[in-house]
Amino acid sequence: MQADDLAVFVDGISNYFSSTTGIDATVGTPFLSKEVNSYISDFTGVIGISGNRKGSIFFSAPKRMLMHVLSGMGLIATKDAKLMDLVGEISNTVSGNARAVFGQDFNISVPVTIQGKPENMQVSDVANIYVIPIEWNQQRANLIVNLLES
Amino acid sequence: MKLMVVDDSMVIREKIALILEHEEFEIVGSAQNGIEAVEQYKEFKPDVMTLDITMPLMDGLETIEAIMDIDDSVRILVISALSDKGTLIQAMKLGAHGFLCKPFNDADLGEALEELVEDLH
Repeated sequence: MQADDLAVFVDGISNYFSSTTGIDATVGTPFLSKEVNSYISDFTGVIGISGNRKGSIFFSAPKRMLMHVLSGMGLIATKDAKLMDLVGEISNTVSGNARAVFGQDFNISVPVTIQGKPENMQVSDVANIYVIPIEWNQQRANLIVNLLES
Repeated sequence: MKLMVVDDSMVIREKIALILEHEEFEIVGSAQNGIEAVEQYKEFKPDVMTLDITMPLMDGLETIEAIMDIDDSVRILVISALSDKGTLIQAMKLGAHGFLCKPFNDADLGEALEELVEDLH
């Protein structure tokens, strides 16, 4: 994956927070990592990618941030299932928006959601793990992009 | 005007319901995939439907086809994160009337629905 390709994800996650909550997020400079586990938080949404790219996109955030995002949308987090749903929706939205750049052959799966930190999460291409740090409302989340051109 | 919300995300279903709480729309159905949507469509016969594309079991494009086979008078607003032109064109060809890209805010949804039903008033 080219570093330039990351711009669509930076823009996508930034747009998500401003559009849905009215509060801008600060999106940090993406960096390469050799593993994903250090960047996994309380709730994670994972989208599988196939077609003209292969890999996965993760959005992982702490519970407190997700509760505030829901609140910013005018909704109440009555149960953790709603926070799971929200991380899935955020990962799905950012991944789907990337089709504007990668085209219709950039196929995205329905989200898989994870609560907690699995012991050893793996990705298909360890040489290509980009972490995009996001700060919103004084809390930090990560968007992790692991894509290879098919 | 009767409206049905179809999206696999409960957050999105709740958000749409909240935005439309004081509008002219009465939410008669809420489905989390295309199969549920078709079943509920037959029961509630909504005038308007908001429809996600990426859903398990039956996706939004398949759902448009199935609904059009039953009744092509329903107005469908696709609300999806899939922002490529190909998906938009495909949805419109199948019978959708409007397309709103996620993420959206209250004003975006209000305007899209207003445009969708303006000639029904």
